[in-house]
Amino acid sequence: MPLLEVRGFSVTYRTDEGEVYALDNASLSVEKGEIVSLVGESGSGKSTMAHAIMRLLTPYARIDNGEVLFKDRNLLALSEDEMNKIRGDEISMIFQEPNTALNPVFKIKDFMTDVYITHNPGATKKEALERAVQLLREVRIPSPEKVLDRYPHELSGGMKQRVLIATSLLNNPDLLIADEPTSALDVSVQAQIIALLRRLQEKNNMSVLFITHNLAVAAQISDRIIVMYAGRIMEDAPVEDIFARLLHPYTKMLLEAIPSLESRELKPLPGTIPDLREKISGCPFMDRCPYKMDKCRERPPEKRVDGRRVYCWLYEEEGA
Amino acid sequence: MVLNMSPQTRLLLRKLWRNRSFKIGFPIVLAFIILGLIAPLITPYNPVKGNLSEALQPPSSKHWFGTDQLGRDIFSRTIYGARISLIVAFAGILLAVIAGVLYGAASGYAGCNVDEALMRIIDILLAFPDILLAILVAAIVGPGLLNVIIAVGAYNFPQFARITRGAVLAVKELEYVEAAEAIGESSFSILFRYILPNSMYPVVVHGTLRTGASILTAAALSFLGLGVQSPTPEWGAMINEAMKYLDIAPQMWIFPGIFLTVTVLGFNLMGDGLNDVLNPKIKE
Repeated sequence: MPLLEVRGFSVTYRTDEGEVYALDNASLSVEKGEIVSLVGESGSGKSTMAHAIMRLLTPYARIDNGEVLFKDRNLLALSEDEMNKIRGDEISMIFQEPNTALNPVFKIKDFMTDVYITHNPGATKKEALERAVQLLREVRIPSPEKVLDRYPHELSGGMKQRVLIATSLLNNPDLLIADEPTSALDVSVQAQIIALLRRLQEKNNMSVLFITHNLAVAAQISDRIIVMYAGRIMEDAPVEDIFARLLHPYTKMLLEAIPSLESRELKPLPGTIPDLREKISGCPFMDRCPYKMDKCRERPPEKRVDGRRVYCWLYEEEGA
Repeated sequence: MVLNMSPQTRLLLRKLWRNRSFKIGFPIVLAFIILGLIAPLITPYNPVKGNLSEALQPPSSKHWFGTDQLGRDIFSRTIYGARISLIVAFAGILLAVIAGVLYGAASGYAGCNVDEALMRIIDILLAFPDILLAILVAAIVGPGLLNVIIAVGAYNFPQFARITRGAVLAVKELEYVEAAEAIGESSFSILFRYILPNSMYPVVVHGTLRTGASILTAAALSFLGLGVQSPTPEWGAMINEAMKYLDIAPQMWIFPGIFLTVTVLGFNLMGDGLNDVLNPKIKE
């Protein structure tokens, strides 16, 4: 049984210009101790997925159908109080922009001890401080005692992201959702943070749902990659297989778009992401796909190819 | 200073001190506050007890500002007037801030339909000219010091509600609020520990700006007979009493009038200065 299983999830945003279909019947699962990357362009629904699992969608979002099973409980059916007990305790989340993810009026120690005490009601301030120091050491922050006395504006972006990672691990979560945690950092710091996340994941045998638009980062960190496009899952495969044999035309195009040292030429993806204000009945990638067929007007079913999930009519025979 | 100040605070203070409006306004306000606080120590006479045999005297060495129709020392009354204005303005603004911040925070944080409904009520209140709303409230609750405070609080309240709501709307979209939700903080804790402390800057500036205006409104209410009543030494009420003796005892309105004008000017200059320095939209 997977730790987290999302089944047939659809989310719609109400906007002034009508409804936006952000997630359309998307399913995914994360096993215990696994790092799964969710990859996609802006607007592909990857962040919506992360927020929906945490039940942190804006009031303008509506969940049309689906289930989020975490340790066999349907998170969507829990009360807000029960959900608050899970957030920050069994499931933690880290964010894209470390510079704005910390309350500017709290010292680091106020923030960290607060998170610990919220989920361990019997704990004393001293215990919470000890735990905070221990975790700041684990994320390799030099002289943690000093950092605890600082305000967020006194730390660099990389330091803040480390503090946030340390905070998210305070209560030994089973699942860490990382929403583009490295996008706002410069490249050398990015690599450090990714190495750090990998090390901590192995140490705590924690599961990670890693959200990124960067296939290279996803390849570095994950065990499995899920490619999303226009609110749908396109492909879901172990990281070593996905690059060994490219299945979905969209994944192919994504890889070709990464500039290499030899070609020196940028190959942008032709076309644009479809307008999500209209419900797409067929394959959402149809208009940009070089292998377009008549059949693509119908919704592609889930196909199993070599144990991988792929949603494309090209593999109809193979999966049968 | 030996105080442990961050570089930002020091820079802010230096900028304030270079601001001409603030440099003039701040000492006036400071003087006004000090006068109000130490009034009993520096006044030679009891401000409410008069000596009828010394009524309507012009300024002299015995009575620096002269006496009124009941022989009360106008200098003592004027200084005590600072105390009354101080109480009315600060208590009234405090009342408005507390009520406005809670109302605005509830509105902004709840959002959607609740926000719509609460803000339409504020629209109605804001449509009244300031003084009219204050007169309305004062007329309903009746005269008296406490009631002037309520009137000042009530007419300032919608502005603070609107300002807080705007700030809360902006702050609640910030990532650290989302991060707080993601770590399982309760809505109560998120509103009071994450959103409100970060929404206070515009409230502080507006509070200073409104204090001067509130002193003037309170004086106007008392002048109209709706506020603090004689014998309490209130500047507006003193000017009202002086109307009957406009030409024979001008000291009765000149001195409280000057104090009122200078104090309000001081607050407005200080508020402008604060706004110049703190408002990020204004560049030097």
